[in-house]
Amino acid sequence: MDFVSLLAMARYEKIGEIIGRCVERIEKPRTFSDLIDTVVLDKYLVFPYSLY
Amino acid sequence: MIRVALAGNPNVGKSVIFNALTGAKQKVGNWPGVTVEKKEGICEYKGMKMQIVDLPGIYSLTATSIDEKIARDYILNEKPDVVVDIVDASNIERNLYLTLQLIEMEANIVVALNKMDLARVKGYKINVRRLSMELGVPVVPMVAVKNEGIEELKQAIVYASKNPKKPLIRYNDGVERAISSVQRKVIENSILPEYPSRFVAIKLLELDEDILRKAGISEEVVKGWIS
Repeated sequence: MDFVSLLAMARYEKIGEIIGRCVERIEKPRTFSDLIDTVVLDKYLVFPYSLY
Repeated sequence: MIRVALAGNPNVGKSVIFNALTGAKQKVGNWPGVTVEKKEGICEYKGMKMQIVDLPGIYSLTATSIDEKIARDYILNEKPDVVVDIVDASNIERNLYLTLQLIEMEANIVVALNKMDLARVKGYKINVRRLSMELGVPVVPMVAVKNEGIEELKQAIVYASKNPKKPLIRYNDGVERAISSVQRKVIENSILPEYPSRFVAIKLLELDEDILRKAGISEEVVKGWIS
């Protein structure tokens, strides 16, 4: 592997470490509106697998 | 006069911050030799004057595009007193890549952590003090479109200009060994002594055409140093 890739990987590795120590991801509770969206998307907008 | 450069990825709110800092005191032209817009302005804060230069939006400093070359050459050759690295807090992982490269260049950085409101909406809780400790540079949380954090940013710029920092970000052992061996050769042979030796070593390892040409050495020589 060339050093451009190795250095890019090393930088992302370091970024991962930093983010792991400084950033917390809080999962928001799903709202009723989210639920409606999911139902509408699944029912009407998802690719119809039965026809695939 | 404090000379300040604004750097950051595209769409991080750089223009909003530039306008908030400079107001009506702006001058628009082109970077020398290219048709890329150059914006400059003056910011006054507590009796101090700052000359602000808006660098083109870039994702990295590899000098593969005109924008990257302009930004890199400006920071390396003009050596601004402070580089404000504008980071999109809602997209922090991608944005920190440029931050690490600016640290490699030994630029005197202040991180403007913009779009904190969007980050909160996305569910990110960022420990700003810890981030500042990890990077070794001041970090100012902001929501530039709401004018939040602008005064704190001006204060941080003035403080950083008086207390410059050159933090060292260390990578994994294998990469560090390669950097050290090339850096030793860079120092021994006085290669591009006007630039930071660690930065030159990293760019030589990446076989950066611009740095290889300026240094007057071939890829084979660098490969020989690593092996």
